Amino acid sequence: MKLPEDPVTWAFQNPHADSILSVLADRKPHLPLEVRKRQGIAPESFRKAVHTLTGYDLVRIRSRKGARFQGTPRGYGIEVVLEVTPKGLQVLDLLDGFRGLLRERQATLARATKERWLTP
Amino acid sequence: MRSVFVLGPTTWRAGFHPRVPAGLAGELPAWWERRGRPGLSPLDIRALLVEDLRQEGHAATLMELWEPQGKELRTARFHRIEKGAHIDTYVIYWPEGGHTEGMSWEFHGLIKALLDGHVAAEAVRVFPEVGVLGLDGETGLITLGEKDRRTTYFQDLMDAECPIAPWTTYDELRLFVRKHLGP
Repeated sequence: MKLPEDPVTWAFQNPHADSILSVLADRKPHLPLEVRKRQGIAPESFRKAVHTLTGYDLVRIRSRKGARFQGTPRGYGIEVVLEVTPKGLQVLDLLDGFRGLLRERQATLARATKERWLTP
Repeated sequence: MRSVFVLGPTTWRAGFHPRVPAGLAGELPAWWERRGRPGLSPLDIRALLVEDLRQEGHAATLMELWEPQGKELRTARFHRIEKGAHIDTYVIYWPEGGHTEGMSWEFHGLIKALLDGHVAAEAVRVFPEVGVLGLDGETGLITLGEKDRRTTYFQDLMDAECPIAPWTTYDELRLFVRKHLGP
């Protein structure tokens, strides 16, 4: 499916963008596995979400300090960390604002809306 | 507005069948004259990226748009373009199956400039096709796809912390390049 031009539209639609950005909001580097497991995201869904987050420049991938490319059971790889970018923080701010608005109107929301946006 | 130097391979490796949609030929800019064989070359794609960036209000260029002056060598021409076009951003289009000899030379120059502090890591945006470099969701590692075509520049780019955005389709590549250079 073609991605929207607007990253905010994508972030609102993607079920994992919000949770990944939330973990990274402390502006510290995080290991991808730590983020994935903490948020309970399936590997392929996580890969796709991070792929698009880096494409929109909302998240940055960089090598863990001192890490080197080396042979692994899954090929030649390097340990990396994920970090949020200033654009990513802006998008997260919008998502948080929307969540706040929903929280104020919780009584009027459908169950699916509450599950999607207000369940930790 | 940025002044962007769009770098990358010029031709495909012999025998490699690129996954470039034929429809992109119709989107090539009017100012671009295709050279060589039928089918789009990596150089044609770079011209398309230049046009995309110009449409977004950036000043973008290719080395191939600048004729050599006299007996000027490649390095001198590269530096003349950097100065003449006031380059502040480098976009590296890195498709699977591209000839990387020229790119390796460009990487060498850029990495030296990064190490010397003449260019900031943020100014070098790398767009590898997923077959070249991609995130493995299972292990959380960045893995290399093109066997036997590893280069020390992968490690250098990772160490330099240049933003890297892998892509899978040409629609994605064009979108990601625009988003990385936009507000």
